[in-house]
Amino acid sequence: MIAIGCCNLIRDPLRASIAVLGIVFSVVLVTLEIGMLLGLVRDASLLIDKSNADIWVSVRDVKTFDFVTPMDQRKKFQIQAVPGVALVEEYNVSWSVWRMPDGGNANCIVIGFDPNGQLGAPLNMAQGDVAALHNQDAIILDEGERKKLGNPNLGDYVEVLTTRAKVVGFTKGMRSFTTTPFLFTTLRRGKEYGWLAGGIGSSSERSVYFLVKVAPGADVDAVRARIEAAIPFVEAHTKEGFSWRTRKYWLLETGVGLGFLVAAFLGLVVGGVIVSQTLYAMTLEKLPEFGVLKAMGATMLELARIVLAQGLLCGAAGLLAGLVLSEALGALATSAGNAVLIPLPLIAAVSVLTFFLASGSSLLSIHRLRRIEPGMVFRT
Amino acid sequence: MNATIAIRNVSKHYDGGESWAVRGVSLSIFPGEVTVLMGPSGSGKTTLLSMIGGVLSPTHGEISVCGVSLDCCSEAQLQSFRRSRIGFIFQSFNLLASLSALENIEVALQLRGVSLSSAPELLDRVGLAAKAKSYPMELSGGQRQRVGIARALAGGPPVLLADEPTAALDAFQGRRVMDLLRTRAKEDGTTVLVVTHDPRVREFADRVIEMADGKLHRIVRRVRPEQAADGQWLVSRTGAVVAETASN
Repeated sequence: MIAIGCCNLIRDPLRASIAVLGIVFSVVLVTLEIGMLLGLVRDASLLIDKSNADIWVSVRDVKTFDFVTPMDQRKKFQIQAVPGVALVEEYNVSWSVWRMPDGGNANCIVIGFDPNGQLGAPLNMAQGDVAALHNQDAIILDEGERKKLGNPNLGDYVEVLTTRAKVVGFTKGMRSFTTTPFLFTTLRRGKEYGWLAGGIGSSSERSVYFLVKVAPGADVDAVRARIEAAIPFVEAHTKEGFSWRTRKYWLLETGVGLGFLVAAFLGLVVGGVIVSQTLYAMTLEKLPEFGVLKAMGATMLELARIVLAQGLLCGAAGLLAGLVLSEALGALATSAGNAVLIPLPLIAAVSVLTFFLASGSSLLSIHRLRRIEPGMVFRT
Repeated sequence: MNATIAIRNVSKHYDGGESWAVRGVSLSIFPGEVTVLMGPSGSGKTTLLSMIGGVLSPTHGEISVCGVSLDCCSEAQLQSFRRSRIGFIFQSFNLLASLSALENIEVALQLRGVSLSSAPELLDRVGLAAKAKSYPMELSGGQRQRVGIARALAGGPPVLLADEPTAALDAFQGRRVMDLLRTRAKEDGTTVLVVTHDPRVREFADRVIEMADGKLHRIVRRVRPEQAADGQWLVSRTGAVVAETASN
């Protein structure tokens, strides 16, 4: 019986192609939307997740990694004194302005960290070396952001805010959720290049984050609670907690995540409608044949299997083509600067969705088959 | 001999219809018999055929086919009955367009739970072994009907019900199809009931039943030539000996 469904598709390639295209449309839209969302989610907390810190300390009620409020640098020593703390490092994030060669400006985020430290995120270097940050005016950029910054090359001198800087290296895949380029440099230079320098008080006295490594055997959550209890006006986050807070802000509070999910859902709906209407048209065209099978004693289950086989075959072909196309488009988008992640769990989820989409699209046709009277065969 | 098909006082009234499609029909049809049901359009022939085939329920009366009383069967039991006991042949062939001739027969075999290996032999029996891989669109009307007959014969059902099997065929193909049905009836003891408007079919019948206004109008029986001697029998134009035995 399932062979009948296969043969129906093979002998009606136009309709089969339309149904497969409907699935491809859904698969590509859902995969790319979710893939882009995953890429953005990863980027949103990339520097937190890659860091070696157990605890991130910030001012209270910070919403996301990128939107920061500085605090007194001396808190570092107070944190250092909390029992269970093994190591504290300063980590600064500051918005700034990159002066373009043509006189224009571009926003950038200056990340000031200790190149000799152990807790900041290791830079995934594509060109140059982190140690080069010890040279005068040295900064490191991500190679994917070069175009936004006027295509600087290794060794080029550029202007950040009002200060000269020299490009000494390029990272790969170290990009922000807001698509604003990261500019990595030392703690001291970071305060010169960023708005932090213009903040309240002397730049040398202000810091944005303190990264904490707890002592071996110490309970991270207990140390976190002790830091908050010991130091007023600060909030200590576990690495996972701060990562989730940052992601939650971008995905839920800004509505960005909802937008992607709605687009993915619409893709499913539109694809589902195309497939279901195509299968329904195929079924209507074959009603007399289904009537014959029913007259010959075929059960409803056997007839449903034929339609279901058609739906699932279209689903399998559409899924395969859709995933290949998604991978290609994803790679293209990533190379153009928009991270699209298509991990195996996403492929598995899209496959399951496609299975339900294809089988669900067959339901309308199966419902129509229920109303066939076998006696119709004598009236045609 | 027990009747393969026993119909007692069967009537059918369609919902919304003003008149009775079939009224008070009683009839017995025996194994190996070729019965032709004739009559004008709307006389109730196809309705009667559909009720015998278990695809339509009578409003009144009893129908028993191969010992199965159809009026007390559930839908599942009727499906099983049709699957195992009835072979249908249709005016417009109703082959599955996306399947080859051989595959059309295999579907019927599969439904009846019979090995698919007999499909080529069935196709050979209707003289279409060379067309096994041809699709219905590639066959002539006569060839399609012969595939339809092979499909109906698949699994050896004891009853063949044919609705206008020669209507779409020329005289030569029509004779060939009817010859095939008669041969099966006489060789295998299959009970064949043919609904038709085609007068050429009469000569292949053991019995011709004429219907009008939902009732049996006349039953004409073919008899052996030696029985014609008592002068009670009528001789048809084709030379077959027939007799008028009943009228309603």
